[in-house]
Amino acid sequence: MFGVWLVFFTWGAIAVFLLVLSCRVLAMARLPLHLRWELAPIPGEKAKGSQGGSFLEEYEWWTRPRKKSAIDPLIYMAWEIFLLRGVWKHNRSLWPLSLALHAGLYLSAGALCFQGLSLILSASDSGAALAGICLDIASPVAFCAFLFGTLGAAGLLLKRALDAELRCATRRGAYFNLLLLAAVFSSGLWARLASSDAARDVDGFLRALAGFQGECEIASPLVLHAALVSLFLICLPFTSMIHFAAKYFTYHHVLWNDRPLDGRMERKVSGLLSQPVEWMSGRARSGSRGSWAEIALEKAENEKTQP
Amino acid sequence: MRKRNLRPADIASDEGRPVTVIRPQDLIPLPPPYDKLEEMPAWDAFAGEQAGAFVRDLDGISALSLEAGKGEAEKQKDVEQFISGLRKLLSKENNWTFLEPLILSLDYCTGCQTCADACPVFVATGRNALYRPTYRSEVFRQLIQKYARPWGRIRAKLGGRDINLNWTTLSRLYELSYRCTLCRRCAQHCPMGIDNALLTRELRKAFSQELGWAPGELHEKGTVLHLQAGSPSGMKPRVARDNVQFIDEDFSELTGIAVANPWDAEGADVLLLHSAGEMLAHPEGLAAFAILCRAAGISWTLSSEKLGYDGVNYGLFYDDLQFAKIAVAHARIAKKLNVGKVVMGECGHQHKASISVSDRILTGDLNVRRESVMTFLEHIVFGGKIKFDPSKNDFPVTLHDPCNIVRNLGIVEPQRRILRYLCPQFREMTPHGIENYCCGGGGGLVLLSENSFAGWRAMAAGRLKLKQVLEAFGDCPGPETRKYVCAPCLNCKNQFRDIFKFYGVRERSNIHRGGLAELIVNAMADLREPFIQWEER
Repeated sequence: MFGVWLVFFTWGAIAVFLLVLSCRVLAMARLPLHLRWELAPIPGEKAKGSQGGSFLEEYEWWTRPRKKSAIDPLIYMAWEIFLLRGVWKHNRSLWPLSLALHAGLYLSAGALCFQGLSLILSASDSGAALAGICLDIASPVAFCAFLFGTLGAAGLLLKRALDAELRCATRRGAYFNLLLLAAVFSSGLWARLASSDAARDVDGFLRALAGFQGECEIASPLVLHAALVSLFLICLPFTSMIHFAAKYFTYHHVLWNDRPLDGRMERKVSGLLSQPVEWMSGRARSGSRGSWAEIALEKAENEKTQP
Repeated sequence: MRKRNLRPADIASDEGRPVTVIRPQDLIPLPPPYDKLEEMPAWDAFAGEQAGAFVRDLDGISALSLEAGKGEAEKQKDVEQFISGLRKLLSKENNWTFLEPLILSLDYCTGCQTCADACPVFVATGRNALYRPTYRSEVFRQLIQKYARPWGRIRAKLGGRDINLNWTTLSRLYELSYRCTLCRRCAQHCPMGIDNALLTRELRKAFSQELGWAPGELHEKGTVLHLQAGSPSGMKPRVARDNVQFIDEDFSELTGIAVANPWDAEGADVLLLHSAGEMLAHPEGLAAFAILCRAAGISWTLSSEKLGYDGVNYGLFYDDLQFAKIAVAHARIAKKLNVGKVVMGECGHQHKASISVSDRILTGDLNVRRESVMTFLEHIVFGGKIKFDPSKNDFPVTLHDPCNIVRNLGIVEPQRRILRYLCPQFREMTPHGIENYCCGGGGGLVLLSENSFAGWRAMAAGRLKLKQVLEAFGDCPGPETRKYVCAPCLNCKNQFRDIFKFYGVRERSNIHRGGLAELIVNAMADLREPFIQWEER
């Protein structure tokens, strides 16, 4: 009976995670076109990006073809995502712990992939041997994930609690997130250590999950771990921890978006400029309300100074 | 008094008592002879009768001359109006211009504090918690969360972010929004791409666009004067023409070269859009451009239409609506003159406002071609039409990178190629390029000088820049060697003027500040006398 609850709780958590994450990502993607607010370095600027240069360094830039690199931003982001380039460069004392936490997350995802692959391969007779190999790989990967993750999350928790400067700048939510992460990773570590063949235990649970079967036998440490992972999945999209998705928008939509006005943009902007403005100062101080375009084009003599 | 562990909620309490004060002993040390605390220039917030007149309970300083002593009803009205402003910031209709960067920076900061060490004000003041980039942002974030979002009050209580918005919070936050130079170094260092400078500007916008609160120097004596008279300097078109004519005559006599700025030449290749402040504070820059354009055979013009002779756009610092009005007016003037392109003067925020930020509102025929002065000058220097003798610039020169040109637009190398060619003793500051430190006058702060604020700018905001300059000239620190800081931005030059005056840098170290065009003209082989005069005008 307990297994049924766990299976449904896990599926529920996955559904909440996907639904809320999708909604939030969609909400970010649907934000209106904004004014340019780029910031160097923009790695997509071919041959200039590494020094922070841009196409504006060219004499009469509009007469030259834009030289964009598709690969450089990917390399930049790979360094940023997997080795936390920014934290390494600018906040070295935080880097080891932060890297450990992120390594824990990435390795967990890696271990889960191997577990999933094993599940798929084992469906056919010919894949059974490979499925076993996948589980053999998943086991140490997961162990490393939980070890690094526990160290990272607990270390960051301690650092935030003990460092006076960091403490006063830390929100209650950040402690909760780290605590939850530490619980997830340490429970995983416990589940690994408590079992003689943890990868196969997880495999059993995943099979039960995939088949919506409640009658599986799961050891208590794994039950706790699975429950905490599910809880984490439910919380995750409501927190700033989805910066992994937001980061795409902060970089690609804002900091690296130096695309000059084109026809498509112009059509969008025309619509935005025709929207009414409700701000209470400026032109609206006199009681009249106009659109962005009307205000921008109004005669200077109408300028109001004080309310 | 000096709280290292300041919490967002602290901004709402202890009305009348400064949240923090700057103590000289906390400031980062400068190299000799600026290292002795007892010799530090006397600086204090203004005292006496004025003390009670303005709100100064943030850090003991009133940069904005916000009047204290309002009635309770009026205060309550301000608070309610501010909440309405916060809600408008989150609406597509009222804030499409920056909604996406705002939402991203509000919602996805992880609080890692990587940005803190990037901030020149925070570092220079000995890590004063009030100036931590995330402090201002976190107060703003908590206010938005509590007062402008659904279920905000309940979520604020549950999340321990229950900040109280009273008039004390409001007035202090208004002041605090003008303790940031908007240099965006914090955003550059943030692994998430969170932009505290943008949040600061959004805060300024809420004050300006909803409450009508903006520093007089930026609004009444800035944008309004710009739109009504033609320039924040108050210069009307006729006066501007007279001033330039005087500069032309003055420098023709000084150099022996006929200096003549053409006006309103329709169909010219280039409309040079200087800041009118150059005419008053740095006329040599204006004259240098005229000499270079003439020598290079460029078809150029100035505009005597209202706003056409002053390229500044203070709206960039505090208000989208004011910003749009000026950007559109500049584009219309260029269109009317039917020029080939507009070239910015040596002015950082003008570059950013005109080339980048206004790009998506200058639609249709307003989308005139706009170019940086750096590439324009580089083209002149390496175009082969002017002969240069670099030995004429054989004195130590370093380059200040204006944040708005370098970090924001990525124009890094053209000015360096010029200096490496024309200045044998050119040396870089550390750090430089896109990693540079702000001069301390960015974000419009250089225009604010009332109530001893110039002292704050020099002591707190510009201290790290001064340290950099002194270290760049570490091999020749004494007054026996004349040294030149090339600052190709009017606001940066003015900030250097104030820093140098505050610390006595000209007398003690013989360091001068000037633009890039002057250095180029100074190296012209045909020039009989040195163009750079070295005296303070």
